[in-house]
Amino acid sequence: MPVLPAAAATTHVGRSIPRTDGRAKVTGATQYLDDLPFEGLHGATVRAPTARGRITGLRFKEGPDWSQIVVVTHRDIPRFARPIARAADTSHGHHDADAGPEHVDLNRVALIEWDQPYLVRDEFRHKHEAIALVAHADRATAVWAAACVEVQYESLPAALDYRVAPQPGQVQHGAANVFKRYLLCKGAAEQGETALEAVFAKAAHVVAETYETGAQEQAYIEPQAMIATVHRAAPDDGDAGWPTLDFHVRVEGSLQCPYYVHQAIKHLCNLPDDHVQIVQAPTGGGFGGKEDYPSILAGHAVLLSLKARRPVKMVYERVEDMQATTKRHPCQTHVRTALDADGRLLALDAKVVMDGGAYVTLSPVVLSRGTIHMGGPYEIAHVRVASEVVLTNTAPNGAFRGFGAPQTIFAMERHLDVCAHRLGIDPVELRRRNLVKRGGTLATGQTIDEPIDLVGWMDKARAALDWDARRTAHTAFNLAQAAVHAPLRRGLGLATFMHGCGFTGSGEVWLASKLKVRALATGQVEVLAANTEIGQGAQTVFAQIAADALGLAVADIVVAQPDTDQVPNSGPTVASRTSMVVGHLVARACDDLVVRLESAERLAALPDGPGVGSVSMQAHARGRRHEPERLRAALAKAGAAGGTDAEGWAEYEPPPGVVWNDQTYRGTAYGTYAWATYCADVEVDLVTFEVKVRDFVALQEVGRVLHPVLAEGQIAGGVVQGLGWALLEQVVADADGGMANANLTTYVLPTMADVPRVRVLFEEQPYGYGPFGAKGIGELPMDGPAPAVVNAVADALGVEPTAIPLTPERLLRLVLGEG
Amino acid sequence: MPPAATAAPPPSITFTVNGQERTVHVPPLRRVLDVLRLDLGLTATKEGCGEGECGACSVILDGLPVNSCLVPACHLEGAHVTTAEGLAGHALLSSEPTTLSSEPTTLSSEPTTLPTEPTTLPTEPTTLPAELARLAPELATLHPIQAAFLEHGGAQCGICTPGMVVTAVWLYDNGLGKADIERVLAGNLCRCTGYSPIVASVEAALDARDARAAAGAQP
Ligand code: FES
Ligand code: FES
Repeated sequence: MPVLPAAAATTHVGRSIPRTDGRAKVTGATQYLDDLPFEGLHGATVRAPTARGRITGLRFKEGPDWSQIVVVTHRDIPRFARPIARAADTSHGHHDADAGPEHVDLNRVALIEWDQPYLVRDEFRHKHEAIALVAHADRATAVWAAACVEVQYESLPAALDYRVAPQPGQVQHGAANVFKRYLLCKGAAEQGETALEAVFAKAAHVVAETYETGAQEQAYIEPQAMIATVHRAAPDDGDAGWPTLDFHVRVEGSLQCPYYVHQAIKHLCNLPDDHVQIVQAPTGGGFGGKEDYPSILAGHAVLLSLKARRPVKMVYERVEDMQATTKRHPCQTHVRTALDADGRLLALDAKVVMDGGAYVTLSPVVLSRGTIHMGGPYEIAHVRVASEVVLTNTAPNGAFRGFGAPQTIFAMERHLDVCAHRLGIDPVELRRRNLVKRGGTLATGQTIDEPIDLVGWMDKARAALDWDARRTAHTAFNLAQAAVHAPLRRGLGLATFMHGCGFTGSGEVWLASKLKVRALATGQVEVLAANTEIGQGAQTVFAQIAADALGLAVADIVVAQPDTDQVPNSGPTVASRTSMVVGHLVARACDDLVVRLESAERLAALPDGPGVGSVSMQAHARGRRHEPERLRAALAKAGAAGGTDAEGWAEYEPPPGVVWNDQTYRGTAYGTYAWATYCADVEVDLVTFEVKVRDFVALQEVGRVLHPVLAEGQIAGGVVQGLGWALLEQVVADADGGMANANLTTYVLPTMADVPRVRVLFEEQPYGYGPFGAKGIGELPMDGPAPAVVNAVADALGVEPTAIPLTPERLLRLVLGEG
Repeated sequence: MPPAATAAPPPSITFTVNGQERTVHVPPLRRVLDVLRLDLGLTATKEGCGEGECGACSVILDGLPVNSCLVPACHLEGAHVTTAEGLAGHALLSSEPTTLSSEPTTLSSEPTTLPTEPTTLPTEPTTLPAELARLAPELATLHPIQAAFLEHGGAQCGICTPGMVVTAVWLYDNGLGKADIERVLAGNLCRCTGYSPIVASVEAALDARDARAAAGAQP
């Protein structure tokens, strides 16, 4: 696979051009799903009233004119099992090579385990699970009708605490409600328990502590929204059951991954590829929350539309969105470390337990990322990470920026400060002694072959915060406050961490993403990718990359709206992969197009150019450029003629040396990592127990920065989500495992008044397998803020918080010594 | 709750939105948000929560920013409303800022007194200097706040942006200063940007406004 020279000259990449969707957004012209002109019915959902039960009946109460309301239950889904191909179509590189073809009920959402129904048949597993659907031309009437359906049921014992082993009656999955387990071993741990214990027995210090992180709501400001339109081939096809019907389904919605929804609807309706069209509407935030759930909402809208024979729109209200959709996995992590007398980490023994909620959904891959990131950017000879994700009778937890890594990174980074305090070593010094260097190995055994300088970058971040001077100033400030019994205390904290870019291990190979560009008759080039613009700037970055790959202007590039009828499957918009992995495909597809233009003799090959092949070399990497006017003319000619000469293609090729073993959890987990140090300066008020973040520095090495303003925006946004998770955002469960505070009044998001200006610093070491040297950055900023800020609170008060969110109530109890 | 009965014909309500007089026939308790989005098709104003928490539905009503999801339609009679649709067309480099106070706002902790007059926004697009229009066509006819959001990354997914921009324009047009940004915009949630790019956008626009005002004050 061709490697781009690190310093490839660029005209657009690296500059902060106005975002291509910006003008429409700042003028309010962008039409999100609920803004689109719509003629049809509005759908609403009847939901489970408690944590677990067996449905005995539905009672349609008096009030609504039921003859005017479309009602859908599980009975409207034919009882038909369809064969699925398991290995190739699972997500996130999770695959089970041993599983053969399998037949799955249509009433199952396509994900890793296919265990979740669209509509419950017998037994519901969490409060607010979907049981029936209603639709009416008037939205308020539909909502009212849904409220007038009473679900009659017999209660069943529910498992509500993931930290407690289930009672026999609570077991609903396997022998002990465990969805997935991993065991990662390095060094002595590979020989077994005894060898690992021998390391601990000889160590100068052993430090053990348990950490907990809470659930977090994605809280995209645009709630989940979907429109389904079903076109039937014959209007009077009777009720023969779907497997014999010929119809076409179009779904448009607020979503991250069009091809996930495509796969789900194909299965639900038992249709071939070309009978299902999924279109992404402009999407008002996702953060992982619109990765898997849109498959369910799309399915519901399709079911109603099938029955009503009208387009159906479903837009969740905020309360419903918070109650019914996924959240970040709560996690408990037991960490035990062995250190020598100088504070060098000898061994890490961790046990990670995550709360998966009622169905498997993406939990195995969330747990996987958490397991791999547990060891952090540290050189530790002996590591054992045992992890599991378990069922509880709550709404399924799912994807949220960071995808399991923030949970274990919080535990590790907090633990390092606990170790430092117990050993009497400065936390900065402890990290200096343990950060991995080039040629060192991570917990997976992966050797780091990049020219990293983690200690140097940590010191740079500290310098930016003026760490040493502030440390002195804070000590004096705290003494002065204490002397007059004044309530303020200040402290500093940091976290050093990394985030793997793209899918884990062989995941990208399994995905086999494809991307197309095509010449248009206007002389422009259209980029056709399934990756979605969800605020991060994907559309702008693709345009920059294509423009530079072709030597054209950004205005010469059109980025197509993701529509599965038009765009090839370039994979989901998750895992910090869009700019790095898919952006690289954009550059390569552009080169392929130029080569085809040359071979079709629409464009004379430059005299210094080598011969052309089916797999293009990087035209721009060789410094080959066509004069823009001639290239535009050739593009226009090819575009007008159409056909394959007008198209350029690229398919994913792995960087060399990426070998990953899914069984042993050893090898190259990620082709590359983004590396970071985050520093927080806090002030705690011992009257209100509020934590104020006075200053925050986020320094990261992310390869080449493609667009400084967008990249800074990604980091600042991720940092504030991290601060919210650390200090404010608390999901409160009611007695049935439902969300008791499902509104923005009592689930508190950070406002402008709650956060400091985030100071974002980049180190750029171009990465050879990303476009113009870029790495992925989307998730990284979620990892560091919580441990940095909680470490700063520990520094300010001399207490050791182990759980977040660190609300005033929790901090008060900690200071009072009540846990 | 059953939807409101519609026995009596809904009253007519006449008000001005973005400089245009409109009449609607709606139940008096219908939300202003719904009047704008559903009855008038002005969909720039968004619904993020429907309970006054997120600010995505912000509009300027008789000179004050309000959450339109909390205001019933009966308040609209005779009122002046500005939505995000009514902002573009403002002169980018107008030498006379609309209602700029002559005093730069000081960093006082006192709440700034609110203007009682409805803010009037020019409806005529002022043409840009040709050179600037050529260099930056994307900035043409935007309000300076909108242009600053574009330049400094104030919009990501964009769903909070119309409400955020409307509120920031109110701050800008009423002569408030940098010290007021946090207080005025704290009612508008943004989940994408972490706010830093929004603060940077508004500050840049205010700086340019104040620099122009200072230059204009020179004899
Ligand atoms: S929709 Fe009005 S404040 Fe959220
Ligand atoms: S909520 Fe997405 S840009 Fe503010």
